[in-house]
Amino acid sequence: MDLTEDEAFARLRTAAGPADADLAADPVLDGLLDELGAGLTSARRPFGPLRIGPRTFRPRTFRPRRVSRTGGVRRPSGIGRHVMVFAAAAATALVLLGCYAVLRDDGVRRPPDRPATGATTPPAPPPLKTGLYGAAVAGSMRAGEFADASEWINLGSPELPGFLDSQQRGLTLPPGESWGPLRVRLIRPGKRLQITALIFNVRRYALCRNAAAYVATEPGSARTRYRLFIEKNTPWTVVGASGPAGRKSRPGDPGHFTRTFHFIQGPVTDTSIRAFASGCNLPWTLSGALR
Amino acid sequence: MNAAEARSEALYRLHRTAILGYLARRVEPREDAADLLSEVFTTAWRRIDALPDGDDARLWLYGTARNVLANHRRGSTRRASLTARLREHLAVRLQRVDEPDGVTAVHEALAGLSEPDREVLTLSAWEQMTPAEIAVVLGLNPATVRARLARARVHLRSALATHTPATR
Repeated sequence: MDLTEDEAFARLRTAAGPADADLAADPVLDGLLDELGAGLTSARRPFGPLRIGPRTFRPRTFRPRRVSRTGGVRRPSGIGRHVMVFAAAAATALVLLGCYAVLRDDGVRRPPDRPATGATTPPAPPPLKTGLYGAAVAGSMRAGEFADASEWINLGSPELPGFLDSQQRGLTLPPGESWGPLRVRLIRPGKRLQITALIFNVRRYALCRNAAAYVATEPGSARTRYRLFIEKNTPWTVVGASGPAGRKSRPGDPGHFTRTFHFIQGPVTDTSIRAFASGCNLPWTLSGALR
Repeated sequence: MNAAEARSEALYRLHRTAILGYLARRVEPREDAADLLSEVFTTAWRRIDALPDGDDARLWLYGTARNVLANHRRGSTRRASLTARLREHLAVRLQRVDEPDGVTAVHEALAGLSEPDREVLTLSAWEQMTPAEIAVVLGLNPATVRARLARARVHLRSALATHTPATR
């Protein structure tokens, strides 16, 4: 069987299993991962209780050393008192030498920008919503980017996977395809994307994967098949809340905007179909302005 | 909850499924991925202050998962009691059923490739990583990854030619 390198690579891609999206769609697994996560963090808190399911384990408290009936510390037989005294003296000397070495080195090896005491405090995870609206937040645009009046979303927020789940509901992918390639691109700590672009990416991804499957199975030339598929998909309209462009919105801001999305802007021509199809390739390229 | 715990939990929530998938696609039996996942995030929690910022933290987790997987293959991963229930679920959920011939052929072809070829190919095809991202995970130069990927694609193509059902 003659395969091109691209075809061989595409076959490798379809052989990935289990798909991340299938794992993410399993509510039981989700609960167990929550449980494991809680256990992992709790297990390393210095004195906190460890919860595993309904059970709670408390850390052991300090207990005094067991003493013998005669009241002395139990020691292995055959070791004389002078040996114990010598061992204790040697251990004390080692501890004192260690302390001296630490104190002498203090301030010499430490980088100047790190404080002597106190741990560094990493930033808290950001919320999904930024309260920032509008194209002005995007600054200058590059080719192929777009921005509108909608809110900017933190792509590093732990709430993002749940938000994506809600957007994916009702959209289907062909057998063997997963949302993984899209999610890998969208989950980007430290980056922001507008909510409309986020939704657009989800829908465009679903269309692209379905279009590719359609083109692969239906007879006729690829161009004609893409045209048939794309023409079946009507544009949709998003009505969103909008704050003043580039400024923080206030609660109860009455501003709204309407935006209609087209997978292909203007007439559906061979050129526009080619452009659309090339944007469907994996790794996925995000639509919108990533900031 | 202090900031380190908050960051650790956020990283876990964001990347746990992707890292679990990465591990489950590469380990046998697949339920061992539960222990490996625990190991990866325990390491991340232990070294939370040293973790890079932004998207590099995700790549750092993949790099750690790769090392954990290598240790596991050397037989040095312990089963944790915390993961028992997750293991049980994965054992049922990820049970291998009869796969189509095409998929089996791909796995056979993949098994015949060298470890470096297999690694760049699967990171690119299954984890959807760019050569620059793969370079971070593997600790290589991006140019080296691109060259290795190009070579691996040629090897995959010829390996698949000998493992497709039609030629049997």
